[in-house]
Amino acid sequence: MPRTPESEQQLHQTWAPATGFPGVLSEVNNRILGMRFMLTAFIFFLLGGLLALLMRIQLSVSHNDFLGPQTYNELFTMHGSTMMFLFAVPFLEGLAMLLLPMMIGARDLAFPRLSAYGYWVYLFGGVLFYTSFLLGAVPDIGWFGYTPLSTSRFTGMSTDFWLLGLSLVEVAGLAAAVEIVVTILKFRAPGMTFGRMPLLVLSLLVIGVMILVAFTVLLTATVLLELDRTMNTGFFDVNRGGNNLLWQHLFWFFGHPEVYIMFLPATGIISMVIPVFSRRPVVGYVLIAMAILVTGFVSFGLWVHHMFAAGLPTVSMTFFAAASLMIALASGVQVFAWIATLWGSNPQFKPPLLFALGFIFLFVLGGLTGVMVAIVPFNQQIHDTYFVVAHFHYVLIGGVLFPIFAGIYYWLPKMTGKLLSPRLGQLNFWLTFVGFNLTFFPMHIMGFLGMARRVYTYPSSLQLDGYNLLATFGAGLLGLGVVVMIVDVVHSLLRGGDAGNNPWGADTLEWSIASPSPDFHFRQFPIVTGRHPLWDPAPAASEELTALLRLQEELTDEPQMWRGTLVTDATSTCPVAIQFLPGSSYIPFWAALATLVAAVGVLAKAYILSACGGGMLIACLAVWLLPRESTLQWLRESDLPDRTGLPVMSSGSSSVAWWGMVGLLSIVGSMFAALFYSYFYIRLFSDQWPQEGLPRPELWLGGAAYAALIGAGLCQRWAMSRFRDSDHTGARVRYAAAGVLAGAYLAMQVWDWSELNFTHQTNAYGSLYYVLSGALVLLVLVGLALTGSVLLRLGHSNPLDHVLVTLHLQITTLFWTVASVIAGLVFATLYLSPYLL
Amino acid sequence: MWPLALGGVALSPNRALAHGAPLDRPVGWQDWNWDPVILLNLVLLFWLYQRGWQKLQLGHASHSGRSSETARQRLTVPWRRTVLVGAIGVLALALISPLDLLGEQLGWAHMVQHMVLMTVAAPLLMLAAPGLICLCGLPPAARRLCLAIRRRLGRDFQRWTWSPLAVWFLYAVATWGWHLPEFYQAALRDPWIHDLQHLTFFISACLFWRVLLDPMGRRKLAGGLAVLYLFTTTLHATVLGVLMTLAPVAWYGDYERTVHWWGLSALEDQQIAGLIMWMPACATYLIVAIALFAKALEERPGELPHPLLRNMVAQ
Repeated sequence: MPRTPESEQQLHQTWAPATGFPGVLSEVNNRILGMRFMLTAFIFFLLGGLLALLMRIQLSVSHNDFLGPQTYNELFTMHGSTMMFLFAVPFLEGLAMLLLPMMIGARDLAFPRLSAYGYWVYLFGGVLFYTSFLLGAVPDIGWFGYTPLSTSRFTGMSTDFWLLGLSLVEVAGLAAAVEIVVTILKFRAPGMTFGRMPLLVLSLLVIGVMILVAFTVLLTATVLLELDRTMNTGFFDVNRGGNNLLWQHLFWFFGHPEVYIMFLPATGIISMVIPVFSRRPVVGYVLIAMAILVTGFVSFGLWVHHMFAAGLPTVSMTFFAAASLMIALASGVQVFAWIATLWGSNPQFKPPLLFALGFIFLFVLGGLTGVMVAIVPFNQQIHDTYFVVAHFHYVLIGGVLFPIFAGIYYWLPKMTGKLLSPRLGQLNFWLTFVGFNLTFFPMHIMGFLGMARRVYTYPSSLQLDGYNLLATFGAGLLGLGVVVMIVDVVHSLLRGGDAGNNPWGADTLEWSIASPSPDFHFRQFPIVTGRHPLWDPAPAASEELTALLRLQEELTDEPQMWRGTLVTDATSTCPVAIQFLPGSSYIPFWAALATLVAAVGVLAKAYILSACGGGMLIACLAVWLLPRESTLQWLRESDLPDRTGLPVMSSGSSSVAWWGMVGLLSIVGSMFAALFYSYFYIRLFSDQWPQEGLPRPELWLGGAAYAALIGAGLCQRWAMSRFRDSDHTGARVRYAAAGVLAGAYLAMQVWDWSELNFTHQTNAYGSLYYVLSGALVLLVLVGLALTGSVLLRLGHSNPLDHVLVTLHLQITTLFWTVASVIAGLVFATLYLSPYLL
Repeated sequence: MWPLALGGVALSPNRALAHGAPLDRPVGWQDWNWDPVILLNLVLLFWLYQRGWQKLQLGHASHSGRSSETARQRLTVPWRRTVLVGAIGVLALALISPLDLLGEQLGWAHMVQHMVLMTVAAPLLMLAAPGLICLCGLPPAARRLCLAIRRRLGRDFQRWTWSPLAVWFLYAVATWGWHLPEFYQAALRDPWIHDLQHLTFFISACLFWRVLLDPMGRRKLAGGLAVLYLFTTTLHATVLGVLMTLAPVAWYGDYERTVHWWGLSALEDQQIAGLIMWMPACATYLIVAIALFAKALEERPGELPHPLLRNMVAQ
């Protein structure tokens, strides 16, 4: 179709955002959701900063009684949790949501409604978290919530606020991760191979995978702790054979990668900003990419180095020192690459670059103290002092907040279409930079002199009043810098000059479109021939280029009536399909509300409310997943397949739904891995197994049950092959047989439970037994729902939808394959390992 | 299929023939394991490879046609032969040098031996493509026999041994399974089981690395997936290493008799072994992962995908 003003008008109309109230609740567009995400995160940042200022006022002089010890505990808990969970990660997720499609040449993210669900769940989680202030039950257990302090023996409802609020935010993080990974894999413009992705996109891909593993482990840990608190299980109860260090393991298995989940996109931002303001490509693209990967990899092997004080074998110290050095090496490579990029160039010292330079300076300092902290004897000396506080604020503020500020100054013109004031930006930078150093540099010295963390005051005999007063003064300056930034942003919104498409002369695709970008971002997909699409020379004529240009022409302003974007192959970036993307919908909002209701039910110990929330969530998911007849009609009648040769309905790995299922299954896999780890960890520290002389599980009953379950999985693979041979009746019979087998498994499992002479409350073994087998039952129930929907679909479906039915079957088979493998591992763990270990 | 068989041959029955009672003193530099079967196998491997290499270079073994010609050139790049020599050297280090006997006295030495077999020797060997090249080195009759066996095994067998998920899983099962105290100590006590242990370790490792490194791999894992494949392996190997390191009691009582000769307690010995599995072993996965990743990031300026090459669409 030729480009006409009418076709562009129609495109605008198709992608028009929802307006008015309650319309805004149904928004799914990535640009708007990304900005909402960032704005919400920024508000939480201000709240967290306010808490920090209150603490600094308390600490400004010795023996201060501005805050009591209890309030102080609450404030540092809320400050840490807010900054880590409610600000840094969500802000970067929001930035990713906003920028990703623009940077890779797509029109939206892969799962627009999932973005909306993620946003609402995040908002509700954050609000739930802060509701604790209204009810006077503020969490006071630190941002790490170590057991046994966080068990029900020592803390009340406040810890439930912490656990449930965070769980909701983690769910949002997982949703964003699936979104980010699938979008990057499937929606890159033709020609944007892995080696041509902007480094920010690459770092987002890496952290997407990291979140899928790390956040799931934390989510599992919070669920286990919440079970201990509400259902009286014994995972962390030493009296019943549980283990407190298990919490530390699970927490830091998340916590250490978490640092890099924040840090890697931050370095990605720096790798975008520095080349633009030094007007040359980044030096060492591949080296930086490798450094990102090494950091991501190694961060999963080092969680134990947060537990030096918890007692580790002495022989391990050398190994830790060496392994920690790997991260230092990788970070060093990045720092030198940035310096090399700046070296000899003629950099333009605009606010984004200033913050990037400030980042390099502060991060190197924080990295150096990091190397010091990784040396065990030194660590023992300064453990729990302000030296550690100084170290991680240099890493987190210097390493994450400064890049975030650089990113705000860099991309805000793209978001709002208005330029910021360079003078206010500079003022902000100097206030922030000086304020930051005044606040946190003295803390190194305070730490050496013995000032302890997490204590609400200190004696005057330590002679730390001067340093502390200086730090409080610096914190004030830091706060002032943030105020200047807000003034700058408001001023630019009201009075700012027009930014134009590309105010910085930057190189990546988001700068090729209008500011603010139209809701569909691109009328036609871009074609990428290098790492710097806007700086690269025009592509030389070739057969491929001609073919791509023809396709581009054909797809200009297309699809017209429904939202759609081009899907490309993950490695070669060949166009393979056109993906339908859903428009505005209230379902994500209701689903998020249902999730909140379920969480509040647990909080209030009103389990009937949780059940209602769960039911509502299931209903919402059913409506969510049900394809709408109008959508199907559009897809069936589309003339795009004929004109472009690209299908509008696709199955297998060219469909985003298939990748979404892969994402979901990696979450499921990580969850079970965390449960297996818990099982074997507790086993490791038990003298007897099963604990307290309980009998070993019945092999024959377990064997029969799990054989039936694995049989159900095999049956569905078999059904799939019948379907491929167009034998629909045969396929249905096999699906039904799979359902019967899975039902038999469920019956035998229930029987097994009823026969046991212990409960989930007896001891940690009992808790593990019930939770592990219960989790598998839940998985099977989801699988049965999938199988049931397949049976329905096979019964009545339009022959035109053959591709969608195939996809449905593929997803079901994939799910059951993974479920069968997990079932085998659960069997080996629960039934075989007591006989072998 | 081929590297498999060879790997197997290189390790098969040796110890049972070589030595009987365990040493009653600490292993010294002089304690080499001159097992004739191992030696013979390594020499045979080298000899066949050398023959195959020469034939390939002369072009005898290849059939006419351009595709097999480029395949031949890809096979006979000079560094590949160096890699094979390296692989044989590493195998000798693991199986012949005093490290082998030390592994019966010290758990961590045993861990080093396994690590060298699985994460150094196996990937080097797979990089050298010994299967194809040795096949060319065989006398015609033997070659026909091998091909016939391969046909017999069938395509399903081929598919499974090339399936990344299957070999990933096999590798994980071998790694975890043999560390169960009963199995591990059975291997320490019975030379035949010990050989079985080394054999399963080595074969699973060869299959594991082959899907990443095989030079002729039409079925090779691509960059990003290779990274994921190694990343998930690192995760489970790390967890096993952590459990070994943090265990409050020693898992393998059999070492109690010998570790004190080396000034260690059985628990410390096990902690070192766990840490070796946790860090240096996982570092090798990381090194391969970043190498494959860097290869995936290779940039050929201006190159574009052809929109009509849609053979990836699974309909």
